[in-house]
Amino acid sequence: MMTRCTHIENMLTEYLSDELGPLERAIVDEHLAECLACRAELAAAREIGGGVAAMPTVNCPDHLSRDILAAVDADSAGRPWPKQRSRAGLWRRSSSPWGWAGLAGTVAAAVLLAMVLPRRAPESPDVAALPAADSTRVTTVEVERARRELLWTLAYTASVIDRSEKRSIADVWRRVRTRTPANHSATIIGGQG
Amino acid sequence: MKRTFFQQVLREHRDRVFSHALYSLRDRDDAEDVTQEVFLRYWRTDPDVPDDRIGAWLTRVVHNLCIDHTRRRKTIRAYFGRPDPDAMERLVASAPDHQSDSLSSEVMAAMEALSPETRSIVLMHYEQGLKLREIADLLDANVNSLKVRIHRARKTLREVLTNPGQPRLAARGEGG
Amino acid sequence: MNTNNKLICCLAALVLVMAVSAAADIKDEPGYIDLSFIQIPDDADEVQDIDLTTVLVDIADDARADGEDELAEVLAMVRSVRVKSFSIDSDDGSVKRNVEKIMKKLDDDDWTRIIFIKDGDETVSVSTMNDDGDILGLTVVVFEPGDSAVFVNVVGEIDLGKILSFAGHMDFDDLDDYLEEYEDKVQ
Repeated sequence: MMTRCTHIENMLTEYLSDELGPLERAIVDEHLAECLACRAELAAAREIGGGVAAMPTVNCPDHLSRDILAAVDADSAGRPWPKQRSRAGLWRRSSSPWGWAGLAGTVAAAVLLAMVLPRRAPESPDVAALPAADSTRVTTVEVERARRELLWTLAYTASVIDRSEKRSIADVWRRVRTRTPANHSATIIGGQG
Repeated sequence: MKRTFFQQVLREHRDRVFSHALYSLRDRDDAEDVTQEVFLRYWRTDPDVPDDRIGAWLTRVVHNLCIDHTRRRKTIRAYFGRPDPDAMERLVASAPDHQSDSLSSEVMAAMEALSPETRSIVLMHYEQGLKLREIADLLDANVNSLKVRIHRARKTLREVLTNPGQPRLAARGEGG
Repeated sequence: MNTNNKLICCLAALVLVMAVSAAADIKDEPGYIDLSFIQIPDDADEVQDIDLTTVLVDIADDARADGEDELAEVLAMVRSVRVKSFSIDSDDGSVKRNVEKIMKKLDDDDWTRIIFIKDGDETVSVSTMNDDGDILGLTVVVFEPGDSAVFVNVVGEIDLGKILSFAGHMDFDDLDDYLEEYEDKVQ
């Protein structure tokens, strides 16, 4: 059974944001006048709300505005605009305070990665060497589940590569900027470590 | 849409949009990505809204994109790129109206305990001053479920603020 | 046992033998890395222990039947996918040792590191087994002490660019469903 206080408490959000009708408001006021606990609730709610309200508006970083406008211009010119995170990251680096150096770092990383990718299309493995799938032995549910596991794995792998690329570059520039001794042994892509 | 008009909209709303994304996602890189996406969508969609409703349109998009973004991260589970609270705090500390006083900093930290979606709704209601009904319209949501969500969020924040040693993970049944 | 049943038994046995030998073949592949020594701690969360070998053919069949050409192409390259991943709050050192062991194995067997980031014990490593410009295997190791560990080995003649491109276009709704199911199981 809902007590009176619970009922009032449920109305506090709207009470505080002035969304209650006059009658409801009067009901709450009347209860508050008599109930210390609910007054305390109200005070706490007001305080939290005030805390959130006082959170400062953070300035949008300058480079971001520039990136956005650049993307808009690219779009107007019929060029593809960066939607995916990885490409947005490249845009970000190219207009970062590190300017061309940052972009060169990205290009270098891409080149290094390209160097280890196969240069020609691989031949398909000999599928006949794998046992013929007898689909009555593997249920549809199992295949479905396996499919998702596969997709997850591929997505995960791709994401690690994507994020690592960006982070390793960021690490390098952070080290350069702060000149900390390398007890971080963050390493750029490529090479044997 | 004319570029000059877009620039004006960008100038007027970028800080608010960025802040919203930053406080919801609690990660600087993610907030930048989402902010960029929000304005690019505005550019591409060129929605037919009156000037005084552009802010609301942007708010809805930033809210939805924050949720999408979170879902995507969770799915990939590449927590390798997890939220960097230091980066966020540094950014906030550099904000023009930043006060190093305690309450809003504590509340900001306590919001870690809420889900990104709830954070976003809490921001809309308390920071941007949107009424429940307005939020409900914007998000196509139910006023009552919003009320419950905000109520629970306040309770969670309060619990975290009064028990600072015990971080509370975002509860499952946190509200609609 | 009548003739029909005998026949069925033989066929079943044959398929089993072929499956086993396919599995054995996988172990001989240069791109294969043994992950079986990795013990998933009892108190680990979000555990994934994935072993896809023979079922890949089934997935490929479905993909072709559904017109999912990109996926079918990826599957044409891949012969085995194994994953061990889990979240763990604290580690008695066993996970770290597993990571070191696998990294050493990759080094000893002359895998090429295409990504290697180490920050204290935190490790992100993506390595390939190359043969004359072809990639025969891919191994991913991600270790965040006090958080999670992921070990992935993909065997096959892999076109990494194709995988990255495919994964980049992936429909995340699929994966969302998977994660939800998975989270329900873990409750």
